[in-house]
Amino acid sequence: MQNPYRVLGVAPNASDEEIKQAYRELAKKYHPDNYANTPLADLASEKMAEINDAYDRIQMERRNGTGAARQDAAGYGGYSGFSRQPSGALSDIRRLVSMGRISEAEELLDGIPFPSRDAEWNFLKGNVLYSRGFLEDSMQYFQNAVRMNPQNFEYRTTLDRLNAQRQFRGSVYSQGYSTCGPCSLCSALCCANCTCNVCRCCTGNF
Amino acid sequence: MFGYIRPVEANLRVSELDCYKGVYCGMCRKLSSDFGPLARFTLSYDFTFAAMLFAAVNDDGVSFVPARCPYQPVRKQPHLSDCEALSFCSDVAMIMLDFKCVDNIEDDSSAARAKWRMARLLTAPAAKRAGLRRPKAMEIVSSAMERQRAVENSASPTLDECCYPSAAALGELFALMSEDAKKQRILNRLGAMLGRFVYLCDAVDDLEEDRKRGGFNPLFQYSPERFSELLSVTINEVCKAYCLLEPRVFQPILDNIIFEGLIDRAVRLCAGAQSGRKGGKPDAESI
Repeated sequence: MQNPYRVLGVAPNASDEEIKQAYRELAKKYHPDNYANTPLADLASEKMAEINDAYDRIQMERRNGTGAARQDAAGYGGYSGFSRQPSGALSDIRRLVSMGRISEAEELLDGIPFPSRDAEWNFLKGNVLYSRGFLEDSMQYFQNAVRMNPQNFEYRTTLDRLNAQRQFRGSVYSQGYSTCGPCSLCSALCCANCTCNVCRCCTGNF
Repeated sequence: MFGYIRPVEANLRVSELDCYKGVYCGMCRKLSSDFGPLARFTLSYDFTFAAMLFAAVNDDGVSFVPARCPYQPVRKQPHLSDCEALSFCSDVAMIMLDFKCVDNIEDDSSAARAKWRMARLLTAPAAKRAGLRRPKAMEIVSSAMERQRAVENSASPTLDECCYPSAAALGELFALMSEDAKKQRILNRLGAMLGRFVYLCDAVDDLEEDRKRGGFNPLFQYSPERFSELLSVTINEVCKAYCLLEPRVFQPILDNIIFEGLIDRAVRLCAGAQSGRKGGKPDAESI
């Protein structure tokens, strides 16, 4: 059993607010929805469970077991995003995709004749392609799914999430990046060898 | 030194920068000792990253030893001491280099071909030795080259189809770094997305030249404004995979490379593409 403070990346004497903040940041990174179209979805789910568990344990320790855990963590539970099973011929394929059996899913998908290729077919095809690393080709299928069924929340949020990745600062993973652009003095002074306070001052990253 | 997978050095602590230098100095020394002094010229940021990743994934205890360097003759510099990480990466680097020479011999004009043939006099025996030590890696690279060639010769391949063989190969190579099944899956995805990133960076960098020479480039079908989007999506996937890895060694440097370095390189490349400069080839800003 891992040290829960270590899992959250905080010191054992961190304040409650710091712990909540750390939890929120980790949850944003490892949220299963981020990994929904990748072959690592189940691993992200496990990691999320580990984070939830660590948070719970810290909360219970601090309240001597009397308090409830994670009042504000509803929705950061297990990997629920992809388990909603619509009725219909494609539900088997959806199950295969959620189990990571991508090649089988793709074969079945490709076997479905053109007239039956509805919004759900397009969504699953997009998932399969994205999982295989065909990040661009998959987009047209996600767009088709939203176009064919604009009411579907899952299709829309998936497309929105993927579109957000198109900007360099569009996702939680790229928040660490900051340009040293305005600081030409740093570039001139080969700032790697100074302690780089100038850079950090310029970008406001104290 | 060349490569697209590098840190934003300005954002590394001084000690981290020294550590990073120690790794590529160790890599340089290993290349020279295993494959001869000319092999030093194949040193790249990308394989320096791979060496750190290897050590991090295997939780290797790494150590640094002071040693003499022909480029810094005055004082001994710390070098990463010999370890499996350096051995694996230098072997794979040689294998890939030789295949690249073969590829260039097929592709280039007859004048340039002679230069690659000469290079092969050195790279072929080196790759053979490395291949005997790493038969799986040899197999992966060799079949990837064939599939890459087939895709690029096919009728109007999509960008994804073009990226796929190299990306998949790098994924398989990265997976060789660990014996743990879970880590192998993560490394596979990380390698595949990094392979895609490198392929895209190469394509952006070579765009002008390919246009002039009438060579193949999958980015011809895209307008330059889209390049940053293509790279950004790929970088996000790299980050997602890396987050699951949780390296114990070299973490600050690896974090810098993945969360900052890739975007930095992409931004520079896209700016360069707008103005016609190259971004990833050997440059004067080396450390």
